[in-house]
Amino acid sequence: MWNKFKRNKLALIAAAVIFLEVLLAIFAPLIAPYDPREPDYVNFLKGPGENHLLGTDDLGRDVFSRLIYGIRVSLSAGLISVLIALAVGIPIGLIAGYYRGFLDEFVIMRFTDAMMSLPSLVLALALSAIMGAGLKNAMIAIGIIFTPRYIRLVRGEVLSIKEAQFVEAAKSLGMSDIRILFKHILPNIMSPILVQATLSIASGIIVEASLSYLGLGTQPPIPSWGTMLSTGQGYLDQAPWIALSSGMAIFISVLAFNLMGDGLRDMLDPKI
Amino acid sequence: MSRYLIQRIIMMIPVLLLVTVLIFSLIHLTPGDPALMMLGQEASPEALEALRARMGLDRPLVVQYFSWLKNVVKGDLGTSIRDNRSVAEAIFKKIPITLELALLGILISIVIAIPAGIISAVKKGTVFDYSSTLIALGGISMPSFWVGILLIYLFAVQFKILPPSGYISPFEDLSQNLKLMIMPSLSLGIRMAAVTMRMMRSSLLNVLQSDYVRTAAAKGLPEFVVILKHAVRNSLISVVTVIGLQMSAFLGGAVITEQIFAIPGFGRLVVQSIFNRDFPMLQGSILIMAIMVIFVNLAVDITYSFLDPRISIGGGE
Repeated sequence: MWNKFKRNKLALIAAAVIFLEVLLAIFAPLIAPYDPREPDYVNFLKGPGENHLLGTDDLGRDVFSRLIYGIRVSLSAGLISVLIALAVGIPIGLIAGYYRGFLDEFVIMRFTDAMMSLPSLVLALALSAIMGAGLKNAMIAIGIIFTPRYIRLVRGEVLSIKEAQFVEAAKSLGMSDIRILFKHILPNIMSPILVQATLSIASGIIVEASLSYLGLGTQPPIPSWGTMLSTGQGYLDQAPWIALSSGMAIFISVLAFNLMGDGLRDMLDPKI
Repeated sequence: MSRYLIQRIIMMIPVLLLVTVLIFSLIHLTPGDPALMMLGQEASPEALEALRARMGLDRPLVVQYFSWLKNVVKGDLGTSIRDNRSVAEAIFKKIPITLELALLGILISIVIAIPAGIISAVKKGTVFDYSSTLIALGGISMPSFWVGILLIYLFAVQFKILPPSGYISPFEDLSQNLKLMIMPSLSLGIRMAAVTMRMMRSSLLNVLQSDYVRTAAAKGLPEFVVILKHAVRNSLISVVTVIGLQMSAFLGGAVITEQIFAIPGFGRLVVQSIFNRDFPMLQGSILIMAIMVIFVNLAVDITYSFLDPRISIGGGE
């Protein structure tokens, strides 16, 4: 399986990029040359050069340092929102798929239908606005909008294997439903969940950046790529490096998670 | 066909009802006083009381929900708490602007995606296939607001050939309208093109392996006839689905694209209602968006059954 992943050069590069980003996020204080929140009213809107690798922003803050610290916001937003969606979506999906019946057909599935007909970004915006702007609430909002996808995915996977012999065997041994669901069914449906989770981290990064761009996600002075993009848009003619570098950072991270997700899918799905 | 349509419409009703419950609970079940959330901490007790009385917030939640639902069914989405505009009127004034953006975006995506997907599938494994697949993956990873800002930087700041933002109605000045709409529709269309192109490629690849395509080729039909007449039509079913399914993402994208390009459409109305804490406007806007998505899904299902008459509820008529 690992060999299959290794053969996918793009996925390998993507994994390396993600690993590098994780390192940059952890060691940000050691790597970033400046304090990302410290304004410098003398050197504002300075172009990329010796002192500032990627220039400075409208308040004279070092763009490179802000990008490095911004990784923390983006990665944690992507990861935590997906974890929230998994924590809620997996148990509900397992129950829906395993027990079927009225609860599944008329409550859970119709509820996911309804949730999925609300445009996710708009729902995330509304939730963030109601709960209050900020990174924590943005992560919860993103987690909520991702949850129906996992309910549907897990339910579908449970339906496809619940009649399998190993499940029947576990039942005939008198195992409890909870044990069967979490010990026998869940480990066997982890592959598609893992693929979806990787791809969702990419979407999570985009939604967090969108919320921050609109002013409803991470709040200043915490450096986030979305707010940097929003600030940078106002200085596109004088200081294009602010918007271009933060946009590139979003693009590279999202692309890395998408490529990684595709690679994992190729590796884990024997049908492809 | 008509039985299928009726069944499909009946199935929509519970989903629509649940959507109204969700939207209502979004605002009313969130901890905190909705009146306080709308008017802010600095509001006077009299103002809060007046708003509560006006919106009926002092009544039990179930009563509030059913009275809202009754009005919604009658087409009354309430009035804005900021400027007393009718919510329905405000929304329907803005929808044509967003619709123009959406149609142009879809057009751009189709013009790029269908030919690229077909060539990629037919020339599988060639440089064209690899590069277009990679470009498509890049396109999927580009958030529409980032594409929008890049386009502004290139075409408005660097080359100065397009205006950076703004809106003029096509009935007022069509050429200026198109100039203003090119970048926003491109920024929405590119991402959609990437998704559609991937689907076109994979679904055409599937169809190309089927027996009837081999038979058509074996009969000696020219390759382009086999591909365009026999294979593409059948692979379009999944492409139509993907285009339809993206409607929801598209509306979300419009919210942010309209913000970037200062287009006074439906998306911008949503953002404004969020910042103004105008909950009746927000509630009405989300409801209309959800209804649009549900109806587009219905239209997709109907298009399906035209493209593939085997599809219908329960296996078919």
